Amino acid sequence: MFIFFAGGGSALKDVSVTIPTAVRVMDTITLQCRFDLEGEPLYTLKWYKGGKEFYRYIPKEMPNTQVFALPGINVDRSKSNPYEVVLRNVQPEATGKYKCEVSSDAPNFYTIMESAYLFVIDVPVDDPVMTVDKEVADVGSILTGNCSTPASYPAANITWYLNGKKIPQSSQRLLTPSELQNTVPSASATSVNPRRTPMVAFSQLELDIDEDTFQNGKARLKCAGTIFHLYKREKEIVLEEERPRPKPSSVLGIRDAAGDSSQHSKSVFSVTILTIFFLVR
Amino acid sequence: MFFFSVPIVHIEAVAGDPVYLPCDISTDEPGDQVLLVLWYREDLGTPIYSVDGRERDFSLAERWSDENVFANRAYFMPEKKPAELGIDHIRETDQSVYRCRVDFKIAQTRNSKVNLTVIGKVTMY
Repeated sequence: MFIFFAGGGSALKDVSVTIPTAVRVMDTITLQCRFDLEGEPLYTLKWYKGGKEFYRYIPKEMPNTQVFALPGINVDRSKSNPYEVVLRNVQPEATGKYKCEVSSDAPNFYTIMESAYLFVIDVPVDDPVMTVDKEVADVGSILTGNCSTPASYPAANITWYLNGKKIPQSSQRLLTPSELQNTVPSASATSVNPRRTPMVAFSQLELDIDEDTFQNGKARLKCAGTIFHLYKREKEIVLEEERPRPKPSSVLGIRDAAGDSSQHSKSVFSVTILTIFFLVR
Repeated sequence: MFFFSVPIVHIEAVAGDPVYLPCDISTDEPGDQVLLVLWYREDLGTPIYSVDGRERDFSLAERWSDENVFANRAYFMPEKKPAELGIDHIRETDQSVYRCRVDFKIAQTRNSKVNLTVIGKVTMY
């Protein structure tokens, strides 16, 4: 059905694994494993997830294909072959490291493995939630904004924008649940989450309001949450300057968008962003 | 961050002594049999020791040992529980992580690793 090995090469080479990095729960996905046996016969091709075999092909065996049940993984046998394994209806438990192992036949049994990581994500349906301590601010004051995203694994990344321009993050911290309760920020935490617990991302922004914050007396503050390419949602709040300064209208009238943004880029933000993740009970 | 389900055992040996690297070849599946046992050094490449039982009973399986690694110092003992790869006169240069892969006819492939530390000096040829 599949491979035709001919010629006289020497060894197995160029094993490569292509799988999606992040997919949605219930998606159908294809795992590709490519290899060059350089003329040697194939003894076997195996797929493992987290060290456990779930698919193998041995051309000399009857049946030549075997599938093993693993949590969250359903192999579509009719659509799978040694080059492409199709998984249907993937579940969050299928998140993990996928490894393709190819071995040539006797006498060498030359073996190469390649692996790649897959996230199966239960993508949140809700938008981020954003609050500010004031919507009317005067120059010289500090505005505090909070933003949180719905629980997900992995947790979303939060980015702040002012007037469409990304606010550089001067500091970002991660907190464990206990640290959150004690409100003792620490640089440790959260990257270890073996049980794939859904996490809420929380970010706090402290923005120094200065002359460049506002454009025509208004400023757009935006919080965006992203999880790979699967979740991109944002919330925006329009801030107003407390006492709009009189501006030379002639300059404003002819300034184009490019001029505006270059003017804007001179402004210096003093920003503190605190991003924390906490467990959802 | 990742879960490695490949078990690893740590074994220390004194240079010159024999050493026994465990590799479980038992199977619970009815009618199952061991097709191949492959020992790799540092995971990959050509195995350094193989037991090929695909076209005969496993007790008569064809054994092969890499001349550049264990050569005739190595012998597989499938009757032990768990099975073991015995290596005589272990050398400091044998210190490494070894992987044993057991291919069954029916059961899931079983991988296990041995982290072998060799202590002391040896000058035997």
